Amino acid sequence: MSFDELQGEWQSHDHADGLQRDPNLLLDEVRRKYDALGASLFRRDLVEVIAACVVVAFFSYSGFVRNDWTLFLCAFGGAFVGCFLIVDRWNQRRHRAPSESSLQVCLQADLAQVNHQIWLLKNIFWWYLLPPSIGVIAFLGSIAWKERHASPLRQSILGVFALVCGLAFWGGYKLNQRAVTKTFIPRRDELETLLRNLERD
Amino acid sequence: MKPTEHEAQFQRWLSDHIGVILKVVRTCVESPQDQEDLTQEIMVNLWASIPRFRGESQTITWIYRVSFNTAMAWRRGERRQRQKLKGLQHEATRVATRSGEESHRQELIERMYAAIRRLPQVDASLALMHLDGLSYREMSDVMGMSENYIGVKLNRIRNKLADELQRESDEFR
Repeated sequence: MSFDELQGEWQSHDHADGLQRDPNLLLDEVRRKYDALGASLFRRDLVEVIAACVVVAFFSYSGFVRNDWTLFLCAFGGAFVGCFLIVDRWNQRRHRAPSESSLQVCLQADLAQVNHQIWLLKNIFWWYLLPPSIGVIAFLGSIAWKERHASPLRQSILGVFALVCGLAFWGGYKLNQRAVTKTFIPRRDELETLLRNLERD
Repeated sequence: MKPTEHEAQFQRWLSDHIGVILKVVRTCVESPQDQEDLTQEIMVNLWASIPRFRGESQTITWIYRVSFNTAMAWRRGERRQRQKLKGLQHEATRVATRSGEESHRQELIERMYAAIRRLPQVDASLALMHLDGLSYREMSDVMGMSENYIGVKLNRIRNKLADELQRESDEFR
């Protein structure tokens, strides 16, 4: 069978054959899902803003009550990370290509977004781990200074706490680097392959 | 755009072009559940795109673009990061009574869908639009590729599809 014959068969076939949809029900369903999607994006942003506010309020209040400047540093670190995340999310959403753009434009926008994600995760130490670490290190340092004459047991507990904090930061860093190699680099490669496919070889 | 105009536009698009959406879905994914999920996602994106439609491009190329972009993003796994849309089983029913000849033609169409699914994603999109009779200009508008390159690619795709279906028919006999 030649391609032209196949094309003839294809065009004479009813591809919506047998699929009956109630247009009004479908319209309601699509509208409901569109509204739900918008609401879920709004909720996610709201939760992030609230979480950042809670962290800042908690450390600021604790710093005020205990008269400890290191806790204000923790609050500042939390505020920096929260603001960075929110601004970055909004900025990325602005750069997303509308779904009716040509395939090439959409793929280029997706590639830019994946490259940005890779950049974010590779530099996670500077914008996510370092700002709160400064506050935590200052806080632990000030406690260690105050407890310098305390019993060895109390000093050991402080040491273990510092170690746990260090491990948590290191684990967070490693997990994100793993996400770069396991998830984002393969996705970038796939997008680059697709884009190359759209360009004359 | 007023809500009623928005709704009327959407219903017009669906009644005129539901076949395009279903074809894109069926050339992209195989399982009925995935097909249902992807159909809904395309419809939601089409609905969202209506206020941006100024009539400067053809409706058909607009719908192809939204459908292909949604399908490709869906295949890359964005779907897993979003809230999964539930089925619309209560709205869709398939009628499956066919005569012998209809059944033979249906089988050929199914094999064509399967052969297109085996092509690389860009080639599959071109194959579908070519089978639907879109011009090179329209395909270029949808894909963002040059018309010359589309011609080169389609030449290979046509031969590949015809050969593959011929080989399958021979094996079947």
